[in-house]
Amino acid sequence: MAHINDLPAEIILLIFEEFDTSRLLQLEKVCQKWENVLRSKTSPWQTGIELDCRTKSSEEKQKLQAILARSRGEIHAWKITISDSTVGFYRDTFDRIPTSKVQSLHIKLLYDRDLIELADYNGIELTDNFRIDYVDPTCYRLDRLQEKIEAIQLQRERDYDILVHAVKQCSDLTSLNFCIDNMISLLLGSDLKSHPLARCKLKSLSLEGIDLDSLCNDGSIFNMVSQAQHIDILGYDILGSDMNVVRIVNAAKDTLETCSLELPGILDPDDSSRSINLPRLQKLRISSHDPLNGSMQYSSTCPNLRYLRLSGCLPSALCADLLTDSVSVLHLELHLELIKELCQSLRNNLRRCSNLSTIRLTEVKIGLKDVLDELTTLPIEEFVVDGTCDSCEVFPQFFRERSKKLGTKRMKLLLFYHYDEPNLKVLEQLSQYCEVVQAFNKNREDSTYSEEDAQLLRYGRKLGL
Amino acid sequence: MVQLSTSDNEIFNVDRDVAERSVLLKTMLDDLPEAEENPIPLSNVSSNVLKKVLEYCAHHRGDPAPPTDESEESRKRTTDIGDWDSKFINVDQEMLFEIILAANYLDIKPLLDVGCKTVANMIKGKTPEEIRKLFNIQNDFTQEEEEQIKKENEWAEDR
Repeated sequence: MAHINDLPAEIILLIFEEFDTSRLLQLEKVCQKWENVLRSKTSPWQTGIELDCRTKSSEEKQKLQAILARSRGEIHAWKITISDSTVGFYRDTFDRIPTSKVQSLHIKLLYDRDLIELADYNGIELTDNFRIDYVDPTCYRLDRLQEKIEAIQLQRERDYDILVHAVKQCSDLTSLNFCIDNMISLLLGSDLKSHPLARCKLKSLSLEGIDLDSLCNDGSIFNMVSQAQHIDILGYDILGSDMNVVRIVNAAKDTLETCSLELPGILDPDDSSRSINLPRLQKLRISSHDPLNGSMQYSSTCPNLRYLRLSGCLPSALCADLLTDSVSVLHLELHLELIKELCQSLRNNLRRCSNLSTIRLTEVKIGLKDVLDELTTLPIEEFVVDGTCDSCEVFPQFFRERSKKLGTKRMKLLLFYHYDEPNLKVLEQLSQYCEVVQAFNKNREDSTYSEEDAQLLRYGRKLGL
Repeated sequence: MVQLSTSDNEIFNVDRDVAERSVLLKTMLDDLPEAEENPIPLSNVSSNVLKKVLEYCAHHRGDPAPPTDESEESRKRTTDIGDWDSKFINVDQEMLFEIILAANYLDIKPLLDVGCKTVANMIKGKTPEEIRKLFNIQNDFTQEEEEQIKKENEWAEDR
């Protein structure tokens, strides 16, 4: 009978296709056949590399060098997580990005504090290697400390320039994901036009924490996204007006299918109307954390929208335009501090979703009843509640009302718990009206999932949990 | 009906649409009308393996034809193995590799994918030593070669 090494090289490569490059480096060590297969001309090394550059690790550099050697310098996808204090250390790594025929570039730039907290939280001792740039105030006189901090800041800015320069030199990108901690300010946009990046046609653009005003400055971003199918613009502190967000997504109106937006809530004096018209859009996530936004004038036409996720304070007019009979999955994030504003915008609008089949409520606190009242007549089949649910008692009332109006057709209620245990009495009442499926704490490890849990998890993925 | 003859000289009678899940057989049947009268010899496939493969083809007989443009993206998107397929492919290692070889020979791409993904899942998360043990692979690197690999990594440390 057959042995794994009876398989021809091309099939072994097919099996290895799923693995990332660092995994492939390990698989090379299994036996000579595998090593030969992996170093053959058709090797899969170009597919992609994932580097964790949060600490100054010569291992990551080694990994990159090994993969560059095997792929003859070509790596088509890069995923790099880096911290502000390590950008300088990896500068030669960035130099390799533009020449590697990269198509997909994913960079996450963290602020050191994140790492310190992360390390503390996980009980990890940070190495001296990492701490070397970290200023210990007790070691310096005040003026000296000031000097030291300024020097570091200057250095950081120079480091960021190297990083941004590398990104701007890429000429074959179809996917760019650039995510920056909100403590870091970095200009991707200045003078974009004169760089190869400006000529890329992106299928997917994901920006977090990027200064929008500078990005929109010379207009080349609009050309870059004109064929995009996916756009994310996120971050609390993106230093741009809502108008810029709207202009970017509208530039992709012929192709855009999925989109996540966080509205900065900043008005331009000369923008009179903000209108979002996306005929092909199927999936939209939109949020704003500025209460001012509630009063803004927005209009929107998205006739093919199926999936909609709303959170924060959104203008009532916008909600009215988005909540239509095309929406079949609706996700509401009801955070405590902004619930009033969101509920106000939802009032009399939710009931328009006459084809709604799935609704998901996250972080349900107060104000739930108002939302539920709107839902009693909709043809919902699946009801998902996740996160903290302080007012579970309102549910039996809702289901009772509902069965009065729509008959006794049972729907599915999925409860995802994080911390609190379900109230047994409420559950008992609920099970009269719907099929209740309960789920676990999200943080639980995979190994402890029961078969039912695993099913639920798959289901959850389908809903985008 | 199509007749298939295996390496151990067993004859299988198969509906044409089931046989045509195999691109190889489909081309043969399209190009050579007389193939329908005589058994098609499959000298690389034994009867117990063919039986399994035909079980797969029969279950998927109504499936739409896979897209012809083999863009890398569309290939990658299908990462999950369906419920029926994962039960079907739950066989011992030797049979698994035989099925993969047969799917490759008969050119049944979806079955080849299921097989390859299953092997990939077996490899996932294992160290080279564990992989050798699992598949009964001899560590055929000499001491010097292992040293060489180490050295290469040192060389790679180009700072």
